[in-house]
Amino acid sequence: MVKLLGSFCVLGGGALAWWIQRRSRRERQNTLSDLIRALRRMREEIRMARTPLPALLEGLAADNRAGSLFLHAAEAARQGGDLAAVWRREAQALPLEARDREIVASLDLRGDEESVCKAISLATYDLAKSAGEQEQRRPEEEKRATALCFSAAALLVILLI
Amino acid sequence: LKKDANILRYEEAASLLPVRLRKLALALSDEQKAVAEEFRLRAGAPITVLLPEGELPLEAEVEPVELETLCDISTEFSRYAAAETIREGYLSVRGGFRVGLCGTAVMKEGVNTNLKNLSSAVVRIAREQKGVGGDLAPQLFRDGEFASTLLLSPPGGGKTTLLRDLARCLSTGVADYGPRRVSLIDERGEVAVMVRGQPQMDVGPHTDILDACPKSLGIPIVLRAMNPQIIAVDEITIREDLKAVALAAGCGVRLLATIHAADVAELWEKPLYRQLLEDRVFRLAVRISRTEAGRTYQVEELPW
Repeated sequence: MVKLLGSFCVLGGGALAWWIQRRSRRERQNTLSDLIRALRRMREEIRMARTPLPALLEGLAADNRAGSLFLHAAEAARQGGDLAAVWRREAQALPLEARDREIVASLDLRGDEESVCKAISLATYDLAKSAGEQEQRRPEEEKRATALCFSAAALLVILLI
Repeated sequence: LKKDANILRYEEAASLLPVRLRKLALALSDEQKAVAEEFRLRAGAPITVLLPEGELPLEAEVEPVELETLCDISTEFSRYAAAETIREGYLSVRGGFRVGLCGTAVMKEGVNTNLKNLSSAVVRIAREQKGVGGDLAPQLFRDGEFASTLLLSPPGGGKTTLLRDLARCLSTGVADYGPRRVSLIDERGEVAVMVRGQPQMDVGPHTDILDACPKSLGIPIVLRAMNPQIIAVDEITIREDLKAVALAAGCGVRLLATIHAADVAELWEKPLYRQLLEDRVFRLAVRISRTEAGRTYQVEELPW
């Protein structure tokens, strides 16, 4: 009875590890997708409406998983702070893959319309490319993670019994 | 208290500077802060503070990137939103400050579309002097109505400051005459200092402002759109401006304008302004003189 209970616990632990890993991947994908959407809107707002950056960033922060990045950057822009440093720091805290975090962190929002829009376009392109690659890899990775979690749990159960 | 307000304005203006230069600017004595007029930044040269006795260099060479940073801070990192004024060589900044810029003009089809590679900048420490026109304003009325008036002084004499305060006085109401609808054509953004539709300087509660628009185009616009009683303009300089003010005078609108000239005699010497006097567009002239005690204003009747 105790062994059976232990086996269930180990299997439950394996399932939990699988679920946490899956949730984390989904969060990364959703954050990336939100960021790409926000950057596209940002470029359009700058080109079409010339919305000042603090107001624009505050608008983007609403209902966005990367909202903290935009809010802190808006505050720095409004206060005349070091926008580049704040942006980099907040970008490094985003739940993204390291390569994507670096793309966001290196986005320079200073300069005239042409240079800002170019920088946003380049970052959007790189992030979209990365999102596409991740989407392609996803079924394979999910399969592998599922197999790994449940195999490890099963092995432990066998050893326990 | 006034001295404190002057120092405060200095410190507000210094907050537009990049951090390294800001620290140096804030290290000046209170006496110097209270009278400082401008910060001057030239790439590769020390930053200077313009004091009444001249430019005081601080111990830091300005790097080109710091001019870009100044521009970014002044626009809240929204340079694209200020593109129209940047190509004219200035920025209007929240708080009423103005930043003048020099760099490489980007020409397209004979028109300057942008300034790149900034090489110099000047931050003017705007200090609104409310009340300088308070005693003068009642003297500008004839037969119960405001008489069209020219404000005269050499450059740096305080014409724009007086124009702003007279606009405020007339808009608020002078003595028993009551408030007037004033339309202000602020071509260079120096009078009201508009930032995203909001004047940073007090130009009165009944003043409508058309900024960044040439006077010759702006005067017909406000005549059609705003039904003004008085039109105020800064720096009449070209023939088109004269035609536009004559048009407004013909419509019965009173005018308040500034001209670079020491006195009325100098106006008669210049063919452009002689025409203005001969057309009898303006009835009064105010000559601004600088004395040790401050500025004095002398009202003169023009041929009418």
